[in-house]
Amino acid sequence: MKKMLLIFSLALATFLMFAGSGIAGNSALDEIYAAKTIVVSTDANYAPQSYLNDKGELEGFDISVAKEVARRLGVKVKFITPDWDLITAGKWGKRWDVSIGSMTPTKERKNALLFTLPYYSSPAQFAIHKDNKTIKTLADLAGKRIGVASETTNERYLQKDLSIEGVKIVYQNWKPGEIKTYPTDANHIEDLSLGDGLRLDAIFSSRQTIAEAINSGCGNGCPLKMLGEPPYYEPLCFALDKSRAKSQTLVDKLNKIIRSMYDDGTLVKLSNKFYHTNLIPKL
Amino acid sequence: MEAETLQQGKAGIPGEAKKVLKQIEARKARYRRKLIVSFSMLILFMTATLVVLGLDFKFMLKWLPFILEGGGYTLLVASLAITLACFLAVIGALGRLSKNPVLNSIATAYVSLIRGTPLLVQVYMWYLALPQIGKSLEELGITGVQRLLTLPAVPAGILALGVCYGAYMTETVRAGIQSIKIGQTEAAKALGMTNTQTMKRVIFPQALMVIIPPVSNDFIAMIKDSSLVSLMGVWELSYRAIKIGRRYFQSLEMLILVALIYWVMCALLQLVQEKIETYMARGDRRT
Repeated sequence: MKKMLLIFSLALATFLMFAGSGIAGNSALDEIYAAKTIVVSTDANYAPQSYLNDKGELEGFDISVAKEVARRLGVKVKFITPDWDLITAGKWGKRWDVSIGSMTPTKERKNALLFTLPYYSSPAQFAIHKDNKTIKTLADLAGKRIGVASETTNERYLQKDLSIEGVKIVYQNWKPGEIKTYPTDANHIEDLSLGDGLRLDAIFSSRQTIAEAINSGCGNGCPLKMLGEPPYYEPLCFALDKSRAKSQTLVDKLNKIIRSMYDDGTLVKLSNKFYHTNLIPKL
Repeated sequence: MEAETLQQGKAGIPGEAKKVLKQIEARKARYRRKLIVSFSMLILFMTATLVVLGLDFKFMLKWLPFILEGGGYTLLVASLAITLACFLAVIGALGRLSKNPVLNSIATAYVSLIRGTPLLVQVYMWYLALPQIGKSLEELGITGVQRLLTLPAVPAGILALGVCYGAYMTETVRAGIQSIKIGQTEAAKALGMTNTQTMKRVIFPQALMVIIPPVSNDFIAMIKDSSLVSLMGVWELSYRAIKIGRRYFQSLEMLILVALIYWVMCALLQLVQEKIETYMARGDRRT
């Protein structure tokens, strides 16, 4: 028994010694330059932000922005597609450098993540089934069942618990009957498409996601229609891991790149290409 | 000579016995016919259900090759994980049966902890908790550990699945070893074998026969549980199906498609399992 313990502790000691010989202390930006690659996480659940195209490759507004950012940094880009909850949780352990995934800088997320300047903004939007004749205004949604994706600003808004820096939030003066949360927007869109009032009466998502569903979802267009004006616009940013040491220079560099993409119209061009509308605010 | 012993009549099987044999043959043939009919009915019924569902078959067919490409990852993860699990199971079972209190308690704690927590949580632990430990160690002055402990998605998935199934299989192996009667051990001892020799030459070969069926069972279960690595962004079967389903808001089609793929894979594995089982039991089964 003693012998085993001895062998075990010896093994541990050698392991730690080898492990200790690594070098640390470079800034996040330097590490990206050294690797000649920026690793970008994206959630391929949202068309037209980030999705798999007909060839099964990643495509979308976020993907194009990420490629452009890498080009301006002078490094290669590599995509990684972990679950959304893993991205928002922070503590990435250097598995990826930045999330370019249309993330809203909420107060809770700021505990774990660093955010850049917003690179576009997204209108929140209610929608109902095409066949519905009774719901005409947002106020008619009082007491109805509304589907949202969990851990999104949409869910927070319905719970009247949303705070985004620099955005004034005006809550609705009615209460939904039931807020049904789903893993992702596609789930509630499909659920409402099953039939009016079958499982849901309305959904709450982003305007571009709903537009995409109406245009080309569910085989030949999901049977939905938009309801009312966007209750709020949310700024969307790149996110970085707060627990990673020396990230500030990377944030500064990314902000500079975002600014240059505003200035030369790249962002507007990409927005028009993927969203068929200009979602880029004035800086 | 034979003709004489049968007294009257001709050589060979007597007429009455032949009749009985013929009846048995006929009954077997009838059974086979009925089996085929009922299977075809089932398949017909399933196809009818799919038609009633009103699925977009063109869409399913279009994406079939893309989703099938994920099968490689599924098989890779599952087969490496089951290999790891087998090693762990044998070590774990020996630990569980060991008279050494330290080894025994380690093995018992391993089985209890891993079997008592959800696999989903364990997958997150391997992926999220290990880098944290690395970071804390690094803050204690051991540099470079974090990178070692920050596992990419595929190894993290293999570890999670292997360690989890290893715990279940530990109990399978332990039960298999214990199912061999004490007389076998005593006989081996009487022949002058050491403990290791007894285990290697007498107990284990016999236990293997008991262990193989539940282990193949676990492997089939693991093929499906390997879909959990999709959480970490590995593009295996279910990841691809779910993402494509969400992209075109046609999840049902994609889920049914991927379910069928899993089914075919598992059915093929079941065939292999049956072959192995027949082989292992060739000594004491009648064909």
